[in-house]
Amino acid sequence: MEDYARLARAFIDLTETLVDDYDAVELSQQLIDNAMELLPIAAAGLLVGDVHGSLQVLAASSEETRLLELLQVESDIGPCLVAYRTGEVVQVDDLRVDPERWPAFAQQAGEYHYRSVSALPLRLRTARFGALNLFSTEVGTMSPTDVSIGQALADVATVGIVHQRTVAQADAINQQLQAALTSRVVIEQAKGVLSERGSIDMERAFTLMRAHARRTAQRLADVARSVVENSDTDDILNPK
Amino acid sequence: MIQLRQIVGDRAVHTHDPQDARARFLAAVEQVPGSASGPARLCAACVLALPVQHAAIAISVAGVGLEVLAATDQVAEQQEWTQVTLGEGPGVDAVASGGPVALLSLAQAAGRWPLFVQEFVGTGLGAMYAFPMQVGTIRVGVLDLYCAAGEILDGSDFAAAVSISELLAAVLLALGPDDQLPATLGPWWNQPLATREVHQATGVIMAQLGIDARSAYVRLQAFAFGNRQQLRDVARGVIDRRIRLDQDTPGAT
Repeated sequence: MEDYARLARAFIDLTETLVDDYDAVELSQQLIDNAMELLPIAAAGLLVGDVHGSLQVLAASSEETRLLELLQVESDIGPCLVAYRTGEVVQVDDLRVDPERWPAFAQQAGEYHYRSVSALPLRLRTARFGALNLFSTEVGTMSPTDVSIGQALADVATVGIVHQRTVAQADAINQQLQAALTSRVVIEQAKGVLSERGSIDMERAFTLMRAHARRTAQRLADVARSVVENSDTDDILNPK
Repeated sequence: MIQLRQIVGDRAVHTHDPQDARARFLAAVEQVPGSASGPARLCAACVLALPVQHAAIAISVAGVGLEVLAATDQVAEQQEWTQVTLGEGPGVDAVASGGPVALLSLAQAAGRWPLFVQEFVGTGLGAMYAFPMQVGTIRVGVLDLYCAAGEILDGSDFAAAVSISELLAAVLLALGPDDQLPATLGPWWNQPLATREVHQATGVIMAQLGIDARSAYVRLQAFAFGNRQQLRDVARGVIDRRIRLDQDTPGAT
């Protein structure tokens, strides 16, 4: 019963994080903490793919350099890279067997007494985002139940990471759009300011602004902004 | 045109299929007669694709509020400028809330937008529906639809209007394959003269009174409201120097 309670608690915590204001790193760290608590593992690391398709460490169960270095070596060539690329679970029962497969990784893992590893893919439908890496000091495969739990945790984290990227992207577009819209508002306002200060019509005001922008190698929008922010408009109205 | 209306307006098969609504709308854009271009064409297409009489589009600009972009005719244009002048209305709410807003009757309005409703009731229009134009969390503005007296949008038409407003947002944003906005706003965004004049008039007042843009805009709205005029007409008056807000007795036109 206690096991179920802990499992339930882990998922409740994760979903609560998703509902609140969170960032991907926080979410990943929570995922790692949950994995360490629920699964028979010695260490864990979460890696996500960057724009170039290389894996970067987002969170780990320990700040110890050796774990981080190990993950990096693995991200270069190792089970988590395979899990990331294929979207499939990769389990290695005994890293000492068949060391040619991932020589550098197997050797380094051995130095830290990690004997087996499970790499679970972070995926959403057909898209792949990274991998959750689970290390054990014991030889042998993780049970199917434990793999399922690990995968479920990874899936929740993936939703959170992807959602945040989408929101960040939308924010960026919103900002771009509003910048373009307010920029032209400011240009119209600047015409009004100049027309009042110089007793000229809007066309003339626009012509003078454009000429000033060319003369001073500035963008029209920047000239307009400085007019509206009350800088000296004399240079614009009475060019030498 | 009547024939098209019958074809696109005839929903013998009631469907909530967004694809169908979008297809109808795109067909209607093609069929808009005359040389209407840009956002005016989009508004005209709405009237062909939905059982509404008038349509208008307004853009949401940070720090300003709604800007009138286009309308099918003077009736819709008038209502849009009323919203801009008063700073209230179903369209304003739709943008703020991100969800559709309907004005069906005085009773249904239930005290919301009191000034706007006062104006609206005098027009003889039946209902007004405001649909935010947005793509996910990217807010572009609002599509305002006006129905003749006694007409409302049924469930299927309402759903179709939601799909169409989303399509309009996508068209306006014209996002490229890597989700990048084009470097400059395209022809769909061409502002009508009246909208530009509102901003120009704001600038004139900023210089006349030595105040910031937001304060100047609010002064314009206050003057318009106090003199029962529309913002666009006050703006024109300010630009023509027939109206000066820096005198003790504002109002001489």
